[in-house]
Amino acid sequence: MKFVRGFGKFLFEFFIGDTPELFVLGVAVLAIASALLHFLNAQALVIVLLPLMVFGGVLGSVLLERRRKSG
Amino acid sequence: MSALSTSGVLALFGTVFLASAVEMVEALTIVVAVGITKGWRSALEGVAVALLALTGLVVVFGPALASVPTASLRIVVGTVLLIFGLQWWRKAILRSIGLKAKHDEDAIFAETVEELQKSPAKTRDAAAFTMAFKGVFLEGIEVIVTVITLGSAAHRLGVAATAAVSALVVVAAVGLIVTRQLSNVPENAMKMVVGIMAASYGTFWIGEGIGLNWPGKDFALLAFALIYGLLTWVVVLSLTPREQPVAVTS
Repeated sequence: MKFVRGFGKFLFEFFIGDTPELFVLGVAVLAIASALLHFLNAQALVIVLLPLMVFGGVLGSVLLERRRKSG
Repeated sequence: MSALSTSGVLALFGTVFLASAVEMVEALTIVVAVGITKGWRSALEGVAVALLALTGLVVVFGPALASVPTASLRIVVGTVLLIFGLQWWRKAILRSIGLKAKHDEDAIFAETVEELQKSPAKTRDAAAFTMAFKGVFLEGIEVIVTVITLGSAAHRLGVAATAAVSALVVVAAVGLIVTRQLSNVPENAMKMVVGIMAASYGTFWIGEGIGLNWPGKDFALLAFALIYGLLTWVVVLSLTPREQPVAVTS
């Protein structure tokens, strides 16, 4: 039981830790890209949007931390 | 879904090598601290048991991945790598712009030594064994996750495993030479590269997994790495606080 709890804590730290927004971003990127591709067949849009969402997400998280530290 | 080209294989090797090396440096710091403080016997026993446990994990879970359909595997692996890469990438940017303290191996070393000095010295030390075991096992799991996810999704498990073993050999050799100067390893730069590469793989494999046809096939992966790297450079330059010029009065 202790091992399972320890492993669960490790997984939580590994995937979520102190940046839950990045976990949400990863899942959201997958969900939005899949929906656009399967419901609208928007290949070109997803090709542009997917990397944009990834970079926009990391930049947003950095700016959020910057605002937290300065405010 | 194509197999990786030569450039893709090199990128895979480099990414796994760097990611594994970063984790191994962290594990080595703990083991060296334990060895120096409490003697090498318990430290090396902890390392040996941790390596056995890690081998067991690979033997149990490794073959199971072969039966997972490639598209599903790439979606799961892509998402895991994206989340993992974003975390490293963000931290490396924050360290580069001075919003987060650099990961200090000397501090980890000092912290480990301080914790171990609280218990009396014995020939076989449970605290030393546990600390060495935990250090190697936890960092080792991260290496295994990297090797299995990157290697299996690219159908190049052998290349990924070779990269990790190469990293082990290099880190062990460097560790033997420098022992207590592990802080000289440019860890933030390595983490930045690994974070960007993992996020690039994540972007690429999520796309492949959901049925997207990337223009340029494998070259899209390298393009992501270059674009993300370039944008990161711009972000770091623009967010790094500039020193105020000192007014000189004559």
